[in-house]
Amino acid sequence: MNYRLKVLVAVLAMGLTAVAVGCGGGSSGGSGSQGEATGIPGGNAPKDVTLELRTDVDTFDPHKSINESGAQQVFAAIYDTPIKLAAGGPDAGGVLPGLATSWTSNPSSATFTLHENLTCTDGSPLTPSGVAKSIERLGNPATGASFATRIFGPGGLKSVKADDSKNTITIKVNEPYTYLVEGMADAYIVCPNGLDDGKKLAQEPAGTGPYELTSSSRGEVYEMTRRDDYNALPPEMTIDQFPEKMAMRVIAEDSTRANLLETGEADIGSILGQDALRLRGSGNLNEVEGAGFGVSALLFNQSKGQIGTDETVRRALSMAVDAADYTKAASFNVSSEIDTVYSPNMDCYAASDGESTPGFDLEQARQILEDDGWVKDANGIYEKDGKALKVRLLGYDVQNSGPEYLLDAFGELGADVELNDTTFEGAVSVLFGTGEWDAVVFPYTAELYVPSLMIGQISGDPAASLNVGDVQNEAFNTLSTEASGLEAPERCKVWQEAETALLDSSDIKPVMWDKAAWFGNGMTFQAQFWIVDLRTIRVSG
Amino acid sequence: MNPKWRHFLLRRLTRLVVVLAGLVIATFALIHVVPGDPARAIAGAQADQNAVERAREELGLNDPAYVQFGDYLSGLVRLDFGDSFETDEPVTKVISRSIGPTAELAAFGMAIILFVGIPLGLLGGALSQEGNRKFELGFSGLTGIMAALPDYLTATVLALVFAVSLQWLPVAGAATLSAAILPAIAIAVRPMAMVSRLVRIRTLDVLEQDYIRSARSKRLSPRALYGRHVAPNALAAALSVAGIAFAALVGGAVIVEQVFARPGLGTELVQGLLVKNYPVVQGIILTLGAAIVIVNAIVDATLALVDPRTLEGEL
Repeated sequence: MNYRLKVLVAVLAMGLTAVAVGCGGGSSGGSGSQGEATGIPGGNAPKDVTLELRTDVDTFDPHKSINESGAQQVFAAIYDTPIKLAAGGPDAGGVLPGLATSWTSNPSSATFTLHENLTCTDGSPLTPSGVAKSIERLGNPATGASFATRIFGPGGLKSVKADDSKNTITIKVNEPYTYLVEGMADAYIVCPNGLDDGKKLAQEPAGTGPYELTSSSRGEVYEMTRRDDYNALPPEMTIDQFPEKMAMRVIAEDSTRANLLETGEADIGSILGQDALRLRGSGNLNEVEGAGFGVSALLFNQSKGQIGTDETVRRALSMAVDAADYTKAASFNVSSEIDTVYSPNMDCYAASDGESTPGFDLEQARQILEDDGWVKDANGIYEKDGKALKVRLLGYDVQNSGPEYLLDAFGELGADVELNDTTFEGAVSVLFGTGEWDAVVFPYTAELYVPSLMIGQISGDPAASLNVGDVQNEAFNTLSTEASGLEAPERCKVWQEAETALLDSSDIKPVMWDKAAWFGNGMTFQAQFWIVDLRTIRVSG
Repeated sequence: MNPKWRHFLLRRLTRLVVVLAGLVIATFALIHVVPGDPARAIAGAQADQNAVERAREELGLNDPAYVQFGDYLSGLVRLDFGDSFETDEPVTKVISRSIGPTAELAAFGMAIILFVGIPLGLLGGALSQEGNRKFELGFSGLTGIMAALPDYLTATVLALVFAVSLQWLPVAGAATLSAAILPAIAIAVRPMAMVSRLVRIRTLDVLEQDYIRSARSKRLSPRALYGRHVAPNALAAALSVAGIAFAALVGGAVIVEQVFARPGLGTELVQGLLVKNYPVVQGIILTLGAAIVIVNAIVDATLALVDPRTLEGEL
């Protein structure tokens, strides 16, 4: 899936096309511009590239898409965005130019200056008014964009104004949102000609990006040709540094993707499971690490009456888990173990915050349970007040043997564990529907490197967010709300305090930094967890 | 038209309507009782509540189940299966673009079953009849193993050996006819093994008959003996299970299409089930159900042509 960090729905990180290592752009809460190197590598692009998609495109309307990896990769080719983000995070370039060449911002608004003479795929002009119209549609609640809060913050879009004479657009939001500029990396700009017929847009893209979709066979392959009139290029790049033709094949199974790479029938693809091991050192394949923004963390169900409401139990279960062993079981060491909520490539990462995470210590875990009145019965299962320590563990296919590891780890501690190992979609049904779970490793990954995306995911009102664990950490709620309105560098200090608040109360335990093993047949490129930066594909050797 | 044939066709048509009606009710009921929220699945796990509610409203999921069923039935009468929750495409369009790869697979699979399974069974019967106990054990053992192999395992092994290691055939896709060979073998192995076992037993049975002894006494050549007398009787036995074999092929295609990344009905059905895309699931199950009933009707008709005695019970 679905096998295969399969058919992973949009909870996981779907990184955007990005450029690693550069210092071209600035970060939000200030200003930025192009003009310095953006990390685009030199060298020649291959003429034709066959790239594997993990999932199919659900719709060609990027404002309605749930943005699975397949859709993200195709959109990165056929649509454009005001800015882009560096794959390496804020320390490796941060915010980079896209349709915009420069920008200024404060937590309530951002103004972007666009490239001159922009055009859509159909050749029609793309003016600032046209860009504004697209952003307006994206931010309109009636559109129902599933990720609008990631772009405009919790308060949503207030207004978008264009000045065609100055070539600028100004975006205002209802509540202060310090990552408004970064959010624009998700704001796909649809050509104005395509905005009025949503039904048609769903089937036929109205593109603005460097590629034109020339043929589309749903579930099979999307073929596209480079637009030689595309001019929103970084200064050190020429259009012929994009491959001339791209074919993006939908291949859901990890092993099938690996087979295609091994036989040369595909040029670029990502592998998340053990098939990566057989591809390493194989023939002409170059391996590229694609790190996600965010981590997978052990989460407990803290709904009323559930075992997760007990902080001692949460801490003991956390201490029974060795992050290194979990990472090996879940990813065959393609990913890395971690002890912080923010991954190293995210804004506000601080390695020292990991000191608040309970480490692996089985004896200590048993001790804290016994100190709290838990006693082992004849079967070695802890019980207290006549109730056994029963844990309903939820796992899903793309976690490979991770759920089995947790089953053993919790069993070693002295818990009675029942494992429900299902598909990711099945897990979503349980998490958002039946609620019949106590512990799960949840992917707190996002396609932007900003910690604010986690507001809706970790703590707060479950109905208004993705807080499936019903975590009510008041300190985190207060601090994260405060941080959302602050500018750099003050915001990171508060974000780190918010992170510590979560870890101190064992609301979650970070275990794994999700990474993908990308492979290129005689090619190199830069990539994030889900997608490749199409601007960086080069012939290797 | 012969009254028996008329009656035969009428019964098969009635059966088709009854099966389809049953499928319509059963799939609607089953997919609606399976836990999970299609609005959440379609909007995405990371969608905010506004997007989920909007999806639920747009998809008509706030309506009571009987209203949804009524809307669905009225669409069916107009041959309108509704639109995909995920892509907004008409389901008829989803089916028409996906049916080709699946039909190709089913056709190749049936060809393997009939043109490999039947001759294999005939050969097995002929060699067993000469008292070759070792051969009999070997044949039974080998076909027994083949009949027990899971489709997914067969598909994976075939892909690794013939596509990855030897590179004789494509790894995946449906762009060329050759891309259908490995998946067709994967789905046909089990039913082919079952058919060959059945044909072998029937062949042995036929070879014991008096008219065969008479034919042998007339010194008929083996070719004439098997071609004119044994094969038609064995063929009838094979045809009698061809309909079941076809159903097994369809089931296998659902799994094998995933391994070989074929954009067929199986792939669409699996994806539809995962995200609770009701219209697509219902549409595909109806299509596959109709195909199985129609193929079984064709098989019955062929049997009747081969052996008119099978029409005896029609009046």
